[in-house]
Amino acid sequence: MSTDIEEALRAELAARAETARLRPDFQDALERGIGRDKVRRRVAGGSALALFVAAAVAAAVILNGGASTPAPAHPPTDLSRFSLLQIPTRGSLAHDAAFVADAMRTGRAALDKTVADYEFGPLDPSSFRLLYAGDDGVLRFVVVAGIFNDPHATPDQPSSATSIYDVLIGQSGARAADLHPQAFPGTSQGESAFAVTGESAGPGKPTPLIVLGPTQMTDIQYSPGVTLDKTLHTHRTGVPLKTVDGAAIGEIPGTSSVFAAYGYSMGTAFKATVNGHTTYDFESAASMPAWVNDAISRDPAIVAAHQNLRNLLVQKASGAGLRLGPDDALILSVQMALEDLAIAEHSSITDVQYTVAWIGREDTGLGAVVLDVTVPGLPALQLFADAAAGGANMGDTTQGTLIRLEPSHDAGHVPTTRAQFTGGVSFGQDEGRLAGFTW
Amino acid sequence: MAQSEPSAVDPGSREGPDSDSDSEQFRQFVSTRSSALLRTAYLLTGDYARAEDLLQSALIRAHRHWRRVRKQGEPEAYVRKIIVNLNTDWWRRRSSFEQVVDTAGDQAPSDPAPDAFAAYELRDELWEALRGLPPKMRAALVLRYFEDLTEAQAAHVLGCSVGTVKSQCSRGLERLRAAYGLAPPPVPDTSQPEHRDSPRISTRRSA
Repeated sequence: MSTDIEEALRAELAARAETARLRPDFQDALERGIGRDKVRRRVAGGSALALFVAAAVAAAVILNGGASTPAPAHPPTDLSRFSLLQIPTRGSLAHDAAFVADAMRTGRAALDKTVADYEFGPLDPSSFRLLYAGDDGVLRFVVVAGIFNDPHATPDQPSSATSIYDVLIGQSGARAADLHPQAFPGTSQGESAFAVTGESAGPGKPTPLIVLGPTQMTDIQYSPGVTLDKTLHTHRTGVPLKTVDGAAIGEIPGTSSVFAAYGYSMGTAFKATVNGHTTYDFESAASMPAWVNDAISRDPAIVAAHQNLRNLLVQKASGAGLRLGPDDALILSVQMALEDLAIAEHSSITDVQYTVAWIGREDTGLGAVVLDVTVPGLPALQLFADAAAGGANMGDTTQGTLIRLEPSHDAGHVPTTRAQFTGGVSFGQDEGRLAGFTW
Repeated sequence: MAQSEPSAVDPGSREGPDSDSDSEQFRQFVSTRSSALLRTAYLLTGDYARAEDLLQSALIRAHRHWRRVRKQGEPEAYVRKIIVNLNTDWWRRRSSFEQVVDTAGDQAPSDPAPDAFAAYELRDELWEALRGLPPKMRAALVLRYFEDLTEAQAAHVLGCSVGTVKSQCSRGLERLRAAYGLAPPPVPDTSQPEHRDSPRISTRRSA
């Protein structure tokens, strides 16, 4: 039987729903969001690979009885004897029975929800662990983990992950139930070490972070991003974190620069020492603060900067016979390169000046562009980017962006291929997490 | 990514669109279904901007798993479920960090004639009461009375039992009824012939 309130509710919902209209640029905003998501996951995936190697090296060292033996050239394939899930709960609250009990309940609920939301398949109940429960007087952290069975795994497409963890953070002294899960849970094939950069609560507010490694891990440091010197050499500066039993918690100080905060969720990397060996970049997950996403997608100046860049590239490309679409990877690639440069100087893309020196299509079929760029704090530089463009049916193909000190246009000749861009060095905030990058 | 490599965060990366056909189908889905999904998101949030954020986040997640989502054959249901879950998460986060000092939200872009003020005022009370409900309770009502899902379907979306959907809807309607100035529904009395008056919408609760 339908009551009057039910009928009134139906009518009200229908009427209110009719007032909701998509913004005209919704599709564009969505495409940009998807582009950012792809890059972000690509970065996270690359970092996780480094993490895997670091953890494997650590495992090898541990299995060797802690001797300072050289790291093996290739990580061992069996990590079953090194597992965070087998290490007792760490952190200053690990022996607070009441809090631990609350944290177990809250953490289990959070992890079950994550598993359900991401459709990982049910947790193996016996695998559930409270990995960390600590409070540094500013923030309180809880980390839980478990193993799940991926119901979608098939012999052709086996699961790429078997364990999952959730990080819950709140104010110092908070009850476990008042901690909130970070938006970016992590997964791994082995139950190895990881670091998580959490969400900043807003402009000027710090970004929490936590690192968990083997108990032998010491001297954990973080770097919030890659910076450039006057010769365009990239480097990182490490900030030490108090390390106890192979774990560390802390915060990256707040910034009023939305791009710096954006960078924290993209470019923060970690290093530590395990039995005398320095391991770089075991960062594995970062949460994009909602306010950063809002600012980047809504701030009129930033939106206008993105639009101006798109318009300029489309217009210049058209003049060169290249039909660029607004969703082409080339445009996003250039935009992100400019953003990364701005992040390196704690600036904003709105402060970056540029002109198109050349745009066209390479022999490879990729679209390519050379920009003369001025970033406050840096000498004049030139940027080369090539990526899928102009309906070349190359999907999202993109290559690393190159930068160099701006030459006098090579005696009048502007380079039109990657090979001709002599003296160029790869640059992007994700570059600083690639294997071999030391800091 | 090889099997032995870990995957940070996104286990479904292999399931995103990897062909022009997949991408085109995703675009087509976005093009044809976004408006409907936005309406649901708006009813859940009561805020246009927040609704669009929710929709965008949900579509980005769906994009990651698009091949699998499409294979399962119900992409709209999948996205709707994400929207509901994300909204609940957002509320949870907001309650941790923020004090809500203003729940006025967006106003419907209508300009009623003077003689329609009373009706609109009444509607606003219902809308505000709906917006004041806990997110899961509101979601249950939206799924049942806007999406016209069955209790079982709503339970699936909300990730709860059918009994929970029933109780959430019942309590939600009770609260709306109070805000709307209606008497509780009469308890069926099978011992007497049914000839009582039904409560009327116009019997508003006095201030």
